[in-house]
Amino acid sequence: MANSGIDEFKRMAVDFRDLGSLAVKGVVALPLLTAWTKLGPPPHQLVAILSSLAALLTIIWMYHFYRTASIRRLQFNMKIALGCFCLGAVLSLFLFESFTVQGKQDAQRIVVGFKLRPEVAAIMTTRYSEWDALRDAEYDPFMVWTKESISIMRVLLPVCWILTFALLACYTVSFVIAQRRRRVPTQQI
Amino acid sequence: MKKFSTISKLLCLLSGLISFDLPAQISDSQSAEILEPITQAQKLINQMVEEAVSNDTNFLGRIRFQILDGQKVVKYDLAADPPSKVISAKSPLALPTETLIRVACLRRDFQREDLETGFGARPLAEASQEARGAVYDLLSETNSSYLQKKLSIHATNIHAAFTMLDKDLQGFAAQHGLDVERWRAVDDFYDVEVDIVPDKANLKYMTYLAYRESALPPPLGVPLEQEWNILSPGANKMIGRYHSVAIWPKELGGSDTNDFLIQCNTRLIFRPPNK
Repeated sequence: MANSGIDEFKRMAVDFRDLGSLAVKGVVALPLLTAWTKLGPPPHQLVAILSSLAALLTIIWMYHFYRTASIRRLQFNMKIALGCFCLGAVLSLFLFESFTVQGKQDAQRIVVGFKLRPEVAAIMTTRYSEWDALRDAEYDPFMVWTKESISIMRVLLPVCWILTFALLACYTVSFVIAQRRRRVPTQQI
Repeated sequence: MKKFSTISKLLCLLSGLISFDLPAQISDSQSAEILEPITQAQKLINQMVEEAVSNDTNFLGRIRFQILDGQKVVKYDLAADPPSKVISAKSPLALPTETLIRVACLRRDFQREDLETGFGARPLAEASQEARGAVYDLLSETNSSYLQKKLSIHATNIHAAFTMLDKDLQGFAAQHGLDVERWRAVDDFYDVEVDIVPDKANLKYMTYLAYRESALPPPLGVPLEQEWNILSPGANKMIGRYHSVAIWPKELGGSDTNDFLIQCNTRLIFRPPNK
């Protein structure tokens, strides 16, 4: 009897010896590590859980739709996923670095906006930046940037971060399926 | 210190009650014996709530609702404070006590802002009733698993009451054409101890950004008078740069303006210009 995608997924989930299976599980666990190290965009815990969930859903998706795909197709997927992952990672890090700031030392990072309020724009000089304004406003971004621009960044940052992990999951699963395909003849899958 | 004495009394009372072995059948006199400590505990909690609302205006009893007419903004803070900041992280009484303090602060602020009579009365009454119910259950329920279930229901109902109040406040803001701004969590600030030596000055402060903006021509600039906040001696929550003015008696030098930057937990001492 031919295996279904869910059988393949289950086999991967309970296999703790194969390096590929461990890598797939690692992709699900990795976002949770970012919550612990506080590396992700705020709110850390929520974004970490959503990233982990997105990775898991991507793995299920891949096993369901690409379990019987040709090696050529899987290799194409891998190239696209890796390219997009690199792009997503660079974009995520850029957004994280450019649009979040640490207020209080042990508190969550603050997401800022990209459009200054007119009152703040009017007092900007070469010696007084928006970061100075943020510090002078008790690190309340709504006092410095417009509400809309902050809201956009608050959505964009986690979405970009979550998609990056989903792409990593896509790449890893494509690789694992392709490796198994090489080991196991197509008829037995 | 008064607050801590109330807390210690409350904890002693609670620890005493927990060690009770309540009999299965209780007579009227025994019932009175059990009810008396509950009444006492509720009195102590009420006392603690009153103290927090009137004395601890920088933290537990802080302003939780304010309408800024000039900016067409309504600011409010319905968030619960952490139990560790109320009594202790493990104390089961922290939740009801914190709820009662929050309710008292909101009632005080609604009254101060002259909201229409009865605004928010229902959710606040419900939250208060649930909190009192939780205190009663804590002191009278002997079955621990049943108690946990009851406390969980009280916590859910308290949360639901504040969610209802949140909706009421959003409706109020929409009805009056006001923008809604929620206050930030107190965890985002550093602890700053303010001392006035000698204790003869009135302190006012504003964020440095507000100070800079006040220099702008209208309509961008907001008049300086609208931006001042009172800086009370004792514990305060602050972060970033501020502009302040200390108004001393004339013999001590009169008004003295200062800018200061808060980057860690610290102590600020204000002294007169002429000693």
